[in-house]
Amino acid sequence: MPLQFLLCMNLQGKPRLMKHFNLTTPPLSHSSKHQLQVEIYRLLSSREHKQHSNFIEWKDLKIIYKRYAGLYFICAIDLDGSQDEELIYLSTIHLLVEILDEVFENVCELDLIFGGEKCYAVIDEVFSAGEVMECSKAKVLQRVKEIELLD
Amino acid sequence: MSSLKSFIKAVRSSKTLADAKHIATQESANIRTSFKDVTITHSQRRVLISKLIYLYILGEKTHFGQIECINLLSSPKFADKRLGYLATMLLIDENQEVLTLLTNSIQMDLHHPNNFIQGLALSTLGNVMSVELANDLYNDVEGILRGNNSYLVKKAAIVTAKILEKNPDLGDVFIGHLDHLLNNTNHGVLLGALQMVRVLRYNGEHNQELVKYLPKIIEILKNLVFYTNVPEYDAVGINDPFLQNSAIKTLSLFFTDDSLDISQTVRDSMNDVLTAIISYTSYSKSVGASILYETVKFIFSIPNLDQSLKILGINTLGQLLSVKDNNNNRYIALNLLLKVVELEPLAVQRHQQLIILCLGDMDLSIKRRALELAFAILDTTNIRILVKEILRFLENSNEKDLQAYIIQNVTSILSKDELLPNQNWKYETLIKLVNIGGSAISNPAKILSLILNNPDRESTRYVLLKLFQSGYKDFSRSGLNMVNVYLLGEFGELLFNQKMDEHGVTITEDSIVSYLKDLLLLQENGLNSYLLTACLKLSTKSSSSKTQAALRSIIENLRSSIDLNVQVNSSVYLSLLNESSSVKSKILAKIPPPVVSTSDSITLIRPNANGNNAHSHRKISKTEDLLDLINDDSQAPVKQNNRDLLEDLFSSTPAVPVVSSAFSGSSSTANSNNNSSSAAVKAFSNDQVSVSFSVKSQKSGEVVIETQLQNNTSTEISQVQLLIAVPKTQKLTINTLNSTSIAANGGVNKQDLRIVGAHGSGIKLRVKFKYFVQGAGEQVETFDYKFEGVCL
Repeated sequence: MPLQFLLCMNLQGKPRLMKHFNLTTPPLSHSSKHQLQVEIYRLLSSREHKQHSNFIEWKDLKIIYKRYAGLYFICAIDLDGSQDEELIYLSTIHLLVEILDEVFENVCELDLIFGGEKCYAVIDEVFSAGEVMECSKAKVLQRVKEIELLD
Repeated sequence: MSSLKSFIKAVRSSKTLADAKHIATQESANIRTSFKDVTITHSQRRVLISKLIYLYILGEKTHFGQIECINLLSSPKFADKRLGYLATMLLIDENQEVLTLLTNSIQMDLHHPNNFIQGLALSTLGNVMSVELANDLYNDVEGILRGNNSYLVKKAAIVTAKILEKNPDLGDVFIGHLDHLLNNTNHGVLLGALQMVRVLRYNGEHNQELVKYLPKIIEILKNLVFYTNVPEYDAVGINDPFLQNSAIKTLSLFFTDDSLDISQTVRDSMNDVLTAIISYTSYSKSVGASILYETVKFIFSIPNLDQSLKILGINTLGQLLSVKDNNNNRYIALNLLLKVVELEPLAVQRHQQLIILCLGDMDLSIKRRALELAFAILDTTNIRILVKEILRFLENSNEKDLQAYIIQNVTSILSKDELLPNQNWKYETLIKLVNIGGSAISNPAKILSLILNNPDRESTRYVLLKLFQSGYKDFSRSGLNMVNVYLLGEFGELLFNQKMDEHGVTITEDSIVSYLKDLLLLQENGLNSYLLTACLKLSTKSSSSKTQAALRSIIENLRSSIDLNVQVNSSVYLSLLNESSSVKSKILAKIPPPVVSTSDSITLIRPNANGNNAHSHRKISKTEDLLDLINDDSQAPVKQNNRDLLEDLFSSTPAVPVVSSAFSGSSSTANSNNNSSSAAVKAFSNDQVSVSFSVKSQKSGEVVIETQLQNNTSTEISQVQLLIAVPKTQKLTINTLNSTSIAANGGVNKQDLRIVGAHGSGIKLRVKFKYFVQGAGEQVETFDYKFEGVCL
């Protein structure tokens, strides 16, 4: 099942990255994307790490999230089509975070704020149309470097 | 022009939200003006677009920059193109003009000599794919798919999968490419190829051709499992879990379908691989566990499962559930158990302890699954412990939909005598259920029928006494009140002279009457109709004139009830009170025990539809829909039960038809009164609109019904169109709507329907309702509605 969107926000609910993959049927308007982010923050902030799982069924979405230090990394898939592969999506999130960590050498929130473009470039190398496309860290890193040289 | 960095810093250093907003709006205005300036350089434009991306993440409006993004990506410079595509993917919305421009650029760039630029075009295409784009560009994508640059081929494969999703007819064009794609060693390419296989399988037109590729996919999976030493894709000792997972998922689409012609050799090698995965994969890390879960799920979904594989599956399930207990594992374990329970209930029953443990979890989705499982594995061996745990859950739960679900399920378990340890336990449990769940019982029909069916007067007395004792002290549980009131009407005499409590106070007619009077003060509509009948029935059981007068005064009091049905009934009952005792004793005799339906499935009863929490209610019905697929055949009887006479008898709109048949004189007028002035009944409702019907006028063979359409959203609903059909024997005339739009926030639009037909026939409508909501597009709703108690 393809990802509907990827989202990263800090513990105060400030979004840092937001990438929607399904832009066609029908695309969300700008304000509803943000509404979505606000509502998801409300969901997450009421959950305790120790007491809750990392999966939420919410509206027609299944939300899989993980907290890394001060940041939530969140992805969402269609609830109807989801084949209960929560753990693999959790691994997907982890893969992305690991790659970001190497790209920025110890990634922190500020990197995501000032290096937004670079993050999206990384995301585009790992995901395509919401599917995981490349899971080799080395290949993604090399690619991102090459692109930077071209710029 | 300031740099992106200084802009971000300015926003971040602002003291208040309003300040930040102010800076952002100001910058947004600056960017708008700068875009109009033809003299600015490309690098300056890039800064503007970068700022736009930051505005986007802040939640500011960015639509004005879309065209600029397209301009940027049409520039020949790589840096411009890169940022242009990146920004377009983020900022694009339904703007058609932008999409058309984008399509042209993508088409040109798919043939660009620089493969990085081709890659950008492919990524973007994957994200914005539509039927039109699929038809326009599939040739260009196919060209790339033929190439041997694996960086581009992997992107093209995923884009191809998207194309096939949008236009299944293109399958013939692409299926031949699977040969070389699946033989590629690049994992990215394989991931894309498997995605293509899955989409083609979903489309369903090339099943036999696809079956030829199964040995190849099995080989890919085998290689991943056996050759673990590939550092590039290693994830905590597991060779590319993503590709493994993708291959397992793909294979399971084929092997779970009986109708496909797959040779035995292929099936055997599949079984070997599954066995290998299980023996080679460690479940201690979550990546390994995720693969094992997929494998076990796969195993249990294979039809005509090989015995040894099944045992392997059951054992692996046990191991998975024994690992470190955290909430993610619980969630997934329960999901898996829910899948397995249909096939191997005994294997799931072994994990009863885990299920009970999860009932006490904090996480709502975990609790809900555990509850479903608890009902699913319940049988004679564990009924005592499970029902005890379930009732404890009920006691601590405050989710309305779960409470209703439990009450309904436990009640239907109690009606299955073959499951129960003994009758004593049955009534003890019933008492507990009503006591604990008293506030969540909205329709006590099933519970009452259990008691009415009890042939043993002593245990009925016991149940009644226990419930009365607890209800007498505490009026807060509406369900308990209803049960009590009804039982007092039927069996009130059993309570006379019983001990109220350990202090030896006895129950008298007076204490019962004062209890009923107290309940009258609650002014609950559902309860009032029960009260009426109870008072009427009690009046024949008492010889004291004081009691009789008190009961009559309760009935009289209800004549001014705001509920029309209660009003009507109280008038009817009052005249009935004046009848001679011979008439009364016939009408007010004990009702015969209703038939208890036992065809209910334990696992699949829908919770009452009146859950206040619409949100979580939707969730539970979702999970149940899933289950419905498995156990489809038990659905029909459940639905029928909901409609049976019993429910009508006990439902909160009281039993007018029953009284009227026994006492035709005054009730026929009551009945027609009821009809001609009936209040609007809500026939359909969602979060956007509700439709209600009310009978406006009625004469023999003709009814005029007023339809009210109400807007529940905060925006105007337009293009309203109401299509209604009646049975062929009747004729329908629809007046035109007074306007095709409905005003926001509760605006109402009315339309009259005139139905003409044979006298006495019932009224049924099939309604198709089209409307347009800003932001949600055109909506179509279809529903059927039958008018209860209204005839032509």
